[in-house]
Amino acid sequence: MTGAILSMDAVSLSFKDKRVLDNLTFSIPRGQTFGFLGPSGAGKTTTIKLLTRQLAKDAGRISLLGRPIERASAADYERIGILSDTSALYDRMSIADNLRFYARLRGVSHGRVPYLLERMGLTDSAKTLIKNCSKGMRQRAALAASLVHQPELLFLDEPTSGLDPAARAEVHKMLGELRDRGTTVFLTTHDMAEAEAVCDRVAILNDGAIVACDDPEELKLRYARNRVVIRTRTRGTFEVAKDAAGADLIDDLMRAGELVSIHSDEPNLEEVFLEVTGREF
Amino acid sequence: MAASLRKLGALLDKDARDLLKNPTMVVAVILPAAMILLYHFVYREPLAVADGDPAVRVLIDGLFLASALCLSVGMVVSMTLIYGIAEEKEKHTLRTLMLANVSAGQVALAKGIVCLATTLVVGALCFALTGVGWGMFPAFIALTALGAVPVILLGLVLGLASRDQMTAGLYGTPILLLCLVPMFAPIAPEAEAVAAYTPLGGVCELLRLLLEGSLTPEAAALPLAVTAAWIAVGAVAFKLLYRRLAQDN
Repeated sequence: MTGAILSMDAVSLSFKDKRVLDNLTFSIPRGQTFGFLGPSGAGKTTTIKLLTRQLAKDAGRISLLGRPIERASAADYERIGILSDTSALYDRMSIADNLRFYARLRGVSHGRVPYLLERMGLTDSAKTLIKNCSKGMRQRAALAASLVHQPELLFLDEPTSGLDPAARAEVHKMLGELRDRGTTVFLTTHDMAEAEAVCDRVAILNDGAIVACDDPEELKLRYARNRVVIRTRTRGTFEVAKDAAGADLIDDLMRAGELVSIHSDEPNLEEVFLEVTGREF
Repeated sequence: MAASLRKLGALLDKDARDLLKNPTMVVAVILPAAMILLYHFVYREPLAVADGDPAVRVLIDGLFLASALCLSVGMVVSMTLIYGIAEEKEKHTLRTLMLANVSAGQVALAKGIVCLATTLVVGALCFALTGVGWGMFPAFIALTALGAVPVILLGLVLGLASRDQMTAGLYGTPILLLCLVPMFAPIAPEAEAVAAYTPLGGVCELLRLLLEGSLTPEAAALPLAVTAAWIAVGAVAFKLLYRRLAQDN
């Protein structure tokens, strides 16, 4: 795991008698956007809590910014940004005042606040009190607050939860920009389309255990179905195996002028998840 | 160190501004002042007698000053500090701060300092309304500050222990009552018996000794020991609960 900015090695955690995380192992190189996927209750938020020292592990090793998490200093945590599932800003302060407060707290210039407001589509609402904001505006403001100090490593727990499609697209665009700047992102989501859109690599978590971990495209190829869907003029639509017999059949259909279309039926990440876990979201 | 001071400055600024926008703060300021004004009507006759009787004057001044001290500390701590921390917990802003690398200790220190400053401002306002000579003001403010320390520490503990603002109301009431006991010591023998051992009992006793002109090191020893004991109790309780708060499990 040399060179990893963040890694877990055989990490487990139990609450009383219930094992909630089981032997988690992964490592994330600098600059990668890593998706941690799974249904509600799979252990995604618990993993983030371990990685951000809100919880203590029972067993295994966690490395944060190249050193054991137990030895991570306050200065190390200044290099980290966290948007948790419960992140909240101050009700009686405006969005801009909240961001200025977090900028001061982090020791960075207020000059970055207008940029973040613009990137989050909040410029026109900058003076709106948080208590008067919609859920989506609050989520975008909280995300902006987690980015105010330009962290090297960013933990995002369901960052687009509650956002409308336009706001989600804006957040995805911002995540792309962060990746381009070399920021490492640890992202939890139960939205497979989001993971496919923004992640370089994903781990699929089920009942506290990682059941698959790879590049999304590799995962889709690994679990690709060995068949194509054929649509014909008179014989309807049916599946054909990707083998010699299937090739002969397609050849015959083409020669007979029967073939209308051939579609490769590749799984998306959600289907990969179903394949590896047997569960539905 | 510089980072800690920077964070403390940001938190102090935020807490002070928030206090001015917080409706409970208005109540915390108005209630003690209103009570002191009300005393002028309740004690109309003793006040008239006090003008010609120095012994009654000492008694009445002691009653007014003890009330001003107890109401300022009790109201401000129970209504702003405990509720303030509970609100941060209920709305998850405390956890968000901690995730931004701010310690619970820094949050508590900022809230404690703002609470102390607010208590002194409310105390000064109440003092002005008592009608007691300004010569007593420095001692009154110093004793208010000293007495506020253990109550603020207990307030921090109760604030951290509160799950939400409703629980804060539940936890705040006993500390408010505990703070108000010395107010009744001059007029109720039952209260006098226990008042000396309450968090503000020590400083109220020092105030009384000062007004009577009998403040000696020997006389001050017990009240100071009581105050120090409450400070120790508050500090230990805060340290224990702060550690529990730092991690979810």
